Amino acid sequence: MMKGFARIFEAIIASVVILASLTFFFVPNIQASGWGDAMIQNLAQDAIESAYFNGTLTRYVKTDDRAPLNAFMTRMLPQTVDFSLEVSRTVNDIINIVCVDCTNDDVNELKVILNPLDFSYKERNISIRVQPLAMATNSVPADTNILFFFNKVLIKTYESKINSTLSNGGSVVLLSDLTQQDVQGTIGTMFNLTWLGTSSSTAEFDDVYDGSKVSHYVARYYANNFKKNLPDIAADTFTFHYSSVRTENDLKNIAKTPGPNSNAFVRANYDIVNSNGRSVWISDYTRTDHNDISTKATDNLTKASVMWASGEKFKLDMTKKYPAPVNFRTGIIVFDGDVYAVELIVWRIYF
Amino acid sequence: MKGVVEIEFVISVFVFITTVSFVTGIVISNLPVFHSASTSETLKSKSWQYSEMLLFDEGAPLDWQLPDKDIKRIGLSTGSRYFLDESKIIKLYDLCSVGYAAVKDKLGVDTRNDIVIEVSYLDGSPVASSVTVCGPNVITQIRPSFQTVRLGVLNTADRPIVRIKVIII
Repeated sequence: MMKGFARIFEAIIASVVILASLTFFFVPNIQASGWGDAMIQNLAQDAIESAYFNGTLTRYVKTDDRAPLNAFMTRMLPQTVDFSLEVSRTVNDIINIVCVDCTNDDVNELKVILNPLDFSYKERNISIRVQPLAMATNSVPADTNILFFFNKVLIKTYESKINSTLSNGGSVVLLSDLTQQDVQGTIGTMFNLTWLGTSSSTAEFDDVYDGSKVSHYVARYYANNFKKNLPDIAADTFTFHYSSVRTENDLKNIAKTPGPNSNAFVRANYDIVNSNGRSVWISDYTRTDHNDISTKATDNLTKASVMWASGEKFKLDMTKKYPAPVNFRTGIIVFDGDVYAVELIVWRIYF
Repeated sequence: MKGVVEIEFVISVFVFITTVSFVTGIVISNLPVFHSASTSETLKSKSWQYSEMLLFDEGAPLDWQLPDKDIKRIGLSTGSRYFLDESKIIKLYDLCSVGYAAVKDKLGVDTRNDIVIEVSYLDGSPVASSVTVCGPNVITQIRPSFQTVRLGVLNTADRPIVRIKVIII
């Protein structure tokens, strides 16, 4: 009799366990569809496209009028999101240059090379600002775009500080003649240079038309500074002291002697530290008379190289913004005299 | 002892029936949740599709906004991406004022659903006579709905940006 009740009791417990476990398997599992994210991304794309076709975007980029541009974008986007606007592939509106360990004469010389410091590029006002910095005792200012060196020895001395700047997206420009020892040391690595041996002193642009090459962008800035078009400056020649640096079969030659395995006089490098940072090495030249036509051309080449080294990336925000970890990027290529990219980065305020 | 059932059999049958009932109950109680989710996704999808159609399609014929045209499909685009034809927006408003059902049919909206189309400038002022360009006379507040907001540029001289809101109910 007791045996029968024990079986019944056992069966009831088993059934309760089975029923309880069944609830685990029958919970409705509905995956989130991601429509919310898709809608924000899509609205951001609509906003930037409409602002471009409407003419507002290009107008405010040209005038660097950030307040109305931000107000305009705010009206188009939902109130629950914040945004940041980033312009790239064109020269920065403000280029902050730090002349490392420069004397007053060095700073004045750099200003003469880059003269005029305030100028227009494709109807945009560009301003170059130069200040000296004793790097041994001072840290690099946060808004610095370019570390400029006349003295090649300092590259080795401040290598770690330069690498830190490059890692944060800054640039370094060196205007100096180089020896084989320089090229096979820190300078060669940072500026991506190799030694050729034979020397030369005249150069021209590598390629002014190929959009994949740095020389094309530098040539555009060079032509603009002389108020000319690309075909007019394609055959311009530049005179330097000498160079025994080899041109590479890559996209980074700016000025060189014609033909393969020739001498490089101005060479760029990019994505140097942590896929960030730009560098330009410029072979030195006679700078005694900046009114001399030949010197003017090479000064302008230096200025155009500095414009490229500015990073070609700047924000159009009212304040410094830090996008949330989850953000959506959408962008367009703008054709408006100049060709550049505008990216709209959108993120939820509450995430 | 024919006809006499042992207590073990009675209890086991009871446990079996309880289990089956329980499982059936759980499955049935989940159905509305799945149905609601499915309906919601369908509404979102339709809302998106109609916003795309209105923003990027010119309609058929291309100049359907002109008088005496046999309208086959309604779209508000000028033909250029992101550009909206003001006269098509006004024509859609006029058509909807006369007969919402006919417009709903031209848009290809399912008989079970309703559509509300709103077009306004960024400051909220209407492009046509009213912000609501098209919609039923009576709109239920209890049926599920989903709205998609899009932006485009009007083809007038000053090229203002307009907001299109498509609500599927």
